[in-house]
Amino acid sequence: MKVEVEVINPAGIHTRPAAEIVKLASKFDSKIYLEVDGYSVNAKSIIGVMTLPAEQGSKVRIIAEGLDENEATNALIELFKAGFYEI
Amino acid sequence: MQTPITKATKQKTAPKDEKILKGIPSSLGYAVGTAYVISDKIHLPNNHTQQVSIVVDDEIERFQTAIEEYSKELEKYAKAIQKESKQVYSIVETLQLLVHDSSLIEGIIEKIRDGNSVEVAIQIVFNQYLQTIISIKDKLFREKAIELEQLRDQMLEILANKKFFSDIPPNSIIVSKTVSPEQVIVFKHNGIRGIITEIGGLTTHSSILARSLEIPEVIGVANATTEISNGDNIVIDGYKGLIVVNYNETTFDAFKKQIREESELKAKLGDLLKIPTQTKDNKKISLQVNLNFLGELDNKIVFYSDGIGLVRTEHLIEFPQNLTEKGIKDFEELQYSKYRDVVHKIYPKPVIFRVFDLGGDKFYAILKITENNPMLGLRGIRFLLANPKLFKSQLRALLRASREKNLKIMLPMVTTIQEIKESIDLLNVCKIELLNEGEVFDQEIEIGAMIETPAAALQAEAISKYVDFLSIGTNDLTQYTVVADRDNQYVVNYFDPFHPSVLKLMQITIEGAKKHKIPVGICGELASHPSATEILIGLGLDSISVSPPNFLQVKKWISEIEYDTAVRTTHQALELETYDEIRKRLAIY
Repeated sequence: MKVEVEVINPAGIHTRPAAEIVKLASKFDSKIYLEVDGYSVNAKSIIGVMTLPAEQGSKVRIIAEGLDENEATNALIELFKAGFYEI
Repeated sequence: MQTPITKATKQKTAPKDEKILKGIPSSLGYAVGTAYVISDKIHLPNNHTQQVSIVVDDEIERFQTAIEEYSKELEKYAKAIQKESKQVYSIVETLQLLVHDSSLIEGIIEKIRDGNSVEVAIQIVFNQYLQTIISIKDKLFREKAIELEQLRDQMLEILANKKFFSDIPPNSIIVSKTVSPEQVIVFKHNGIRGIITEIGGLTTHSSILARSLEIPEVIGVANATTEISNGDNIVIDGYKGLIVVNYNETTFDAFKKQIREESELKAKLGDLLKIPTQTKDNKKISLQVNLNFLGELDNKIVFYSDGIGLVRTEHLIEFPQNLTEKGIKDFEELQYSKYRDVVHKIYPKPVIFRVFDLGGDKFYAILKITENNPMLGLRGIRFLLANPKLFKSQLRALLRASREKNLKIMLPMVTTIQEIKESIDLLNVCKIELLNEGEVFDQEIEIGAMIETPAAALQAEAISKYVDFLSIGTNDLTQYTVVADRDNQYVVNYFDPFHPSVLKLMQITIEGAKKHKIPVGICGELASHPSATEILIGLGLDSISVSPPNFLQVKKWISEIEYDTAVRTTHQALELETYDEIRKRLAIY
C-alpha cells in the first residue's frame, strides 16, 4: 500500500516527530518505508527517519507491505495529519 | 533561578582583566560560578586510529556493553529529575530509541566485523548518516546533525569512561562548543549553575531542557571555550545574553543588585507567577506586554508574560534622512539586528511587530509631507503602501528575523481590504526574494490587522478571511468613532472608550474574528483601565496586551473576575444607551 501525505507542522520532521513516527511504526508487523523525492528510509529506524529531508510542505510517501499494512498506513496518515501533535 | 552567592565564587587572587562576552539569551536567570570548560576532545586513543589487531567478538561485546551502560546512565539521571519535566521524559525516550536503533547497531557491528575497533566503527557509521543529513540540507539539517554528533561523542565517552561525565563541581558554569540533552540532564543533577555554548539553537533539545529545568543559559557565544579559561569567575545574565568573565567588585555589586531585584520580583509575583493568567472560573487569557522601546526589555516582567502583544517598531529605530539604494540596504540591516534581538530575548514566547505606524501626529518631521489634517491623512498602512521601498525593507528585515517562528507581523490603521491584500502581496514578493537569496525564515509567518477605525471594525469579518489574527487599538478606535481628540481640552469629555458605539464596534470585531476562528486581542490603553477588564473578558477577547508596569495589576484583576458573570454584565452593558449608564453599570470611576 502506498499513500502520499504532507508534512504540515511548521518545524518539519525533526528529531521529536521522528521518534513519534518510529514508535508508531514499530507497533505494526508490516515493513514500512517513508520516501521523499525517491529517497527512502525504514520507518522503524529513528536514525533513518532523521535523514529524511522533510520540512513543512514536503510530500512523504508511506509504503507499507504486510498483513497489517492498511492499519499501519492509516495510523501514520493520522499522525502526519495531526502535525505530530505539534500544532 | 535561585543563585546563592557563596564565598567560593568571589574573586580570589590577582585580578585578571574583566571581559564581557555576548551571546543569545536562551534560558532566563542569573548565574554566578566558576568556569568549567569542556574542550573539544576527540576520544580516540592513538592506537585506535591505526589498524591494530582486534578480537572481533570482544569488540562487539564491548560495544553492546557500552549501549547498555549508556541506557542505564540515561535512566539513572532522568529518573532523578523526571518528575520536574514532561520534556525530560520525551527527550530521554528519543535518545533511548536512537541508541537502540537496529540499523545503527547493525551498521556498527558490520564495521567491527570488517576489523575496526568499536571507536572507529562508531565514527564511520555516524559519519555516513551525518553526510546524508548534511547533503540534503533541509531546514533542520544543522540541528539534526548536531544531535547525532552529540550522540556519537557521548557513546565514545561511555566507552572511555563508563559514564557520561567526570564529576563536575556543583558551583560550575559549563562552557562548551555545544551541549547535549544528556549533558543538560546530568548538569542539573550535579547542581551546576549555568551553561554557555558557542553554537546551538534556541529550538534544540538542549535549550528546551535548560529552560524547562531552569538552568540559565547563553548560546552562540563566539569562541567561548578559548575566551574563557577553566576556573575563571563568571557571571551570566540569561535575560540579556551577557557574560562577564573575571568580573571586578563594581560589576559584581551591580549583578548582586539585579539578582536581588529578581528574587524580590519573584516573591512579589508569588503564586501569580506559577499559574497561567485566567479568570476565577479558569477561563485562560493570554496576557502580554506592549514594547515601546528596547530598554523595556530590562523590565523582567516582560519575560514572565505570555509574550509581546505589540512592538511599536517606529520607536525602536532611528530613521535615515534619505533613502538611497545603499541607505535602504543599511536600514534593513539595522532593523534586522534590532528585531532579531527582541525575537531572541522573548523566545519561545511570541512577539507581534506592528509595522511602522507613521503619520498622523507621529514622526511628522521625517515624513517630509504636509497635510492640512494629518489625522485623516496618509498614516499607518497607507503611508507604507505609498512608500513601498521603505515598507519592503521592513518586511524583509522582519522575515529574516522570523527564523524561530515566534514572530508575527501586524498592519496598523487598516481601513480597506485592498490594503491588506496589497500588503500580503508585498510580503510574498519579499519571501520570494529571500528564498532566492537563500535566507531561512518562517514561510508561514502570521500576519494580522489592527482594528482601530470604524471602517475596519465594521468589516472585521471580511478582514478575518485574509489575516491570521486581529488586534484592537482602543485609542484610535475611540477617537475615530466619537470624533474627539483626547488631548483637546474642549472635547476631552467626549473621548470615552466606554461610549456604546465603541463597545459595539469592539463586539462586531470580536464576533467577526470568531466566525473565522482567528484569535483577537487588544493592545490599547483601555486594557489597563481598572474597570475595563471585566468588559474585555466578557466581550470574549483571547489576549490582552498592556504596558509592563501594569502587567501584575491586570493579571490580578483577571484572576478576580468570573467569566460567566463578565459575559452577562457585558451583554447588559451593550443594551444601554449612554455611556453614563454604562459607566454606572460597570461601576466605573
